[in-house]
Amino acid sequence: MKVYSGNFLKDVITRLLEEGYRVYAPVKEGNYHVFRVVKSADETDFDYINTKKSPKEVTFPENEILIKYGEWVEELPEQPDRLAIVGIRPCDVKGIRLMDRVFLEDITDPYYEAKRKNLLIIGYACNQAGDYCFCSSVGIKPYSSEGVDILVTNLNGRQIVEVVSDAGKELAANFELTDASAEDIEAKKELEKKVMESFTRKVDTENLEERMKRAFDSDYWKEVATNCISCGTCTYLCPTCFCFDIFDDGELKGVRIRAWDSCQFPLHTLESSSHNPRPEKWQRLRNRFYDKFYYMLVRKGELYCVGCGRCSAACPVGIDIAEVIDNVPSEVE
Amino acid sequence: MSEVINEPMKNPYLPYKAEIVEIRDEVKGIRPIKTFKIKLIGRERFDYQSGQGCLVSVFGRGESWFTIANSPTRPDLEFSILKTGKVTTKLHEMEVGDVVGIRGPLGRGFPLDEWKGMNIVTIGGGIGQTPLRSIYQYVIDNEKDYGDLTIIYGARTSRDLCYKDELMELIEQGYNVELSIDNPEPDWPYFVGFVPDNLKRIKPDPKDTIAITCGPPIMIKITLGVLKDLGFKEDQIYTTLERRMKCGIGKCGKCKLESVYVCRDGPVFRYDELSALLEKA
Repeated sequence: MKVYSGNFLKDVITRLLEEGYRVYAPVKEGNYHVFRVVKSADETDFDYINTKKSPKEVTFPENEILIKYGEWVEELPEQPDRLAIVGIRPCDVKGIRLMDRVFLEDITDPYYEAKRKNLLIIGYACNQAGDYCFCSSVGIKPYSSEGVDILVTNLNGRQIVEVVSDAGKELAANFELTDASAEDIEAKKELEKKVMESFTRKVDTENLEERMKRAFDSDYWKEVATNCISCGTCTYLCPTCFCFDIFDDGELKGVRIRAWDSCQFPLHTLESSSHNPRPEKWQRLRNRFYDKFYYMLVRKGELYCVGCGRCSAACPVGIDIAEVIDNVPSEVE
Repeated sequence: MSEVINEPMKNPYLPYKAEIVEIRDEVKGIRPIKTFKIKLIGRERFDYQSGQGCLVSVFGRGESWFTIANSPTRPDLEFSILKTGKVTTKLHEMEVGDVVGIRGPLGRGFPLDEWKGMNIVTIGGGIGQTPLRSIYQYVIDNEKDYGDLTIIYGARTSRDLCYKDELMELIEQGYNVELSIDNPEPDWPYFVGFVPDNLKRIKPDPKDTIAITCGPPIMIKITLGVLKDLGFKEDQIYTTLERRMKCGIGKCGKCKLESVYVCRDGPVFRYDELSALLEKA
């Protein structure tokens, strides 16, 4: 554990930009923060609990050209050599790790891999849980250094720097870091305790797989879906929602694009025969909760929710993922 | 800046360049079906299993998934395509010599090796006959490895039957082909009624037999009931599922059924695999 006397997050951005990295960092826009590609550390603002949108677009852009074509394939898009994300919270780092399992396991997705293998992750530990946060309920510590190259913690106005990976070590070598004192270490432990106590939301994941299994045919899902308008805001903001569509733009010359899609949209699964496996709104809503809390658990052995609470915070009809999962009936009629 | 690999084997989104070498009309009218014979340009055809699919690509329109309609024991790749959307409409306008893209082989096919020594019954409806054709061609080409072959196939009218010439030839050669149409037509010498009713009439013996069914969802559902009544166990019954597909490699999530990616884990499933899922196919 090291201490940096200046603003490490901003100084690291300046350094990375000098080295030619494409840097994603939090920028304040109106009354919220969002990750943007920045050209200077001055654009950034680190006074946030979390960003409105998840940073999944760093490795999985909202719209991405797969192929440029004319009569046949003409060109494939170039991929950035050096990418960095600075200020990412531990829940979103977990989100990237869960995305890795989708895009890199089994058949490798080369577009994702090209960005992911060149991505440097500078994490930022949480000092306070947000109104909708429940990461501690899904096995994430809000100060975890898992999956980052460097983790930064704000401790009473000073920045504690934990160098985790070799790439992190290489980068940290450019900065004057001093060893943390015994008091600092103690103070950080206190802070970790404090942040764990700051959660106002908890989700009961005890026996969840079994509960989900039993509740599949319950009318509960119809009730939850009553007010849902299938807008897809939840999937758009979610750090682990990975569904995408592929389409061609341009008849004789153009681009084959992949773009984020949502299982909440009726067209997502509509077949050309006009058969739709999930024609009802409640089936699509149920699909989202089951994918995160059951299907992916069966497939990958992990919950595909990181407890960031973005979907709950932004849902226009107030559907709250923590509440929905907490209330999954254990006894089904 | 670096580039994504420009090689179809290594970039699974990149199609092989291929050429249409033959087009056959299967069904005419407002819902026409054509069979396209396609040859890869500049390379040998890849090996595949019956039941596997390909994404056929027309730049400017997109890609659509089709099950390969011929057996890997026969040359080239055949796809029987119903004109129904943007990609298929364009394909129906294409001619011999035109270029298309092929991504494949995709998914899991039928375990024909496991079925050696068994009797094979295929039960198809309409364009659902496509994967079954690949199976019966394979079984015919490896006749000594398998027991009896029964081909049960029906369509709404005699004009809607695919592969008519081929099936007539098989009948002449003495193969057990049981055809049906939904409603009576003059001079129709075979069964009149729905495919599951024909199956009920034929009553294949479940002993050492594998039944494979493919067709409209309602036909599959009723066929499954008939097969169970005949004494078939779920692990003797196979089907292939149809879903909307985009990536074809188990990433994009469109074809996801419960925890299963139909494009990657299927499209071929044994029935007990499907009945174990919470979400019904």
